[in-house]
Amino acid sequence: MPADRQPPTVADKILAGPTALDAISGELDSLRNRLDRRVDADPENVERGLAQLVLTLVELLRQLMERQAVRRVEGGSLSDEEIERLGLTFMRLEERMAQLKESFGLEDEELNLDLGPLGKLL
Amino acid sequence: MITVYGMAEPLRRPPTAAGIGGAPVEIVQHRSLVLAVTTHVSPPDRSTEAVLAHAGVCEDLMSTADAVLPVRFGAVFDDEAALRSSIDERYEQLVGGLEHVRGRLEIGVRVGWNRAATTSAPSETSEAPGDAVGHDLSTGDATGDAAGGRAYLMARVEEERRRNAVQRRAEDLAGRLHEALRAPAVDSRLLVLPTDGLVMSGAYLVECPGLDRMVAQVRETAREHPELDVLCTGPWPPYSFADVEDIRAS
Repeated sequence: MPADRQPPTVADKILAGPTALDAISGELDSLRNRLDRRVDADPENVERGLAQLVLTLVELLRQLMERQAVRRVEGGSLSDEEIERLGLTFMRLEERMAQLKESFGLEDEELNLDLGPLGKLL
Repeated sequence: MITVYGMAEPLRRPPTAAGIGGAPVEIVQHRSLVLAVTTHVSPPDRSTEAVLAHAGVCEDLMSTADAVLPVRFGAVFDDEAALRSSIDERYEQLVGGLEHVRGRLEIGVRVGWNRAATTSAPSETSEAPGDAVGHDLSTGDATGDAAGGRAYLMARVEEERRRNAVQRRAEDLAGRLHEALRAPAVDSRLLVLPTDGLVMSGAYLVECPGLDRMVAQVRETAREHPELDVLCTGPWPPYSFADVEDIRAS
């Protein structure tokens, strides 16, 4: 390769591809998110940071339990009454989570942890 | 503080690309390895520009050495002694890693659901093989408010089925595509459904002279699957094949 080459541009790096790159360009945002997401150590924001951490764990548990309930519904092991009761419980839990997120000013994406090669927590 | 970009063996000329924040790239020779580093007063920022500068130095190394092992972005050491001792701890692995990538380059292939071709999201093509479940899972058209809980849970059941159907479809597709794509490659890495929009993302390590064959293989795969968007990028430094145990700051 020539010694004095210019740094490659985006076009130089595309060897074959479609004209519309919508799905793929979304990855750029995910890179930016990863770079921007750091723990905010500002003392005035400690409460929000703690709420973020606690709600992340609560949301993880909520989703795990909900999936478990879904599996039981699919397995056919629940009576109509149990389905109704479980559904109501999860519906209220979700509403309560939405309220908590709103009062701490947290977005869904903030209640997630990037586990690197393992993907996202939620 | 020292930031490390990559290691090579040997370099035909000194690196010319600038490092993070425009810092000049220096060379640290340790045993048989040549490391490209920059010196900073404090740990450099994690920004898009910094990532691009890191990639620029790795690209530069690639153009001047036959064997380059990029180091993960963000590797920072207190001083040169800390860097050298970290390398000593895994010297054999690093040399082995360099041999594995010698004379080879990485080609990336990303496959996306083609929205124009499918018109709707793939999740909505209801070929879900779950229809046979004996239980009636359609909306409990029961009475008024009492149906709230049931309707909520049934909506979740549907969502879960759609998710599973997408997962199965992606795994099946990715498996077949990867099988064809890896034929011209020496080594490969596959991620299925790395993001919602992508069926798979594959990395293929190819011999330099085999580059055209790899690209031809990608084009053929893309032709066979007009329902998918296939993007082939590269050549890259072998980022996905530098998975020697992380070089970490002490």
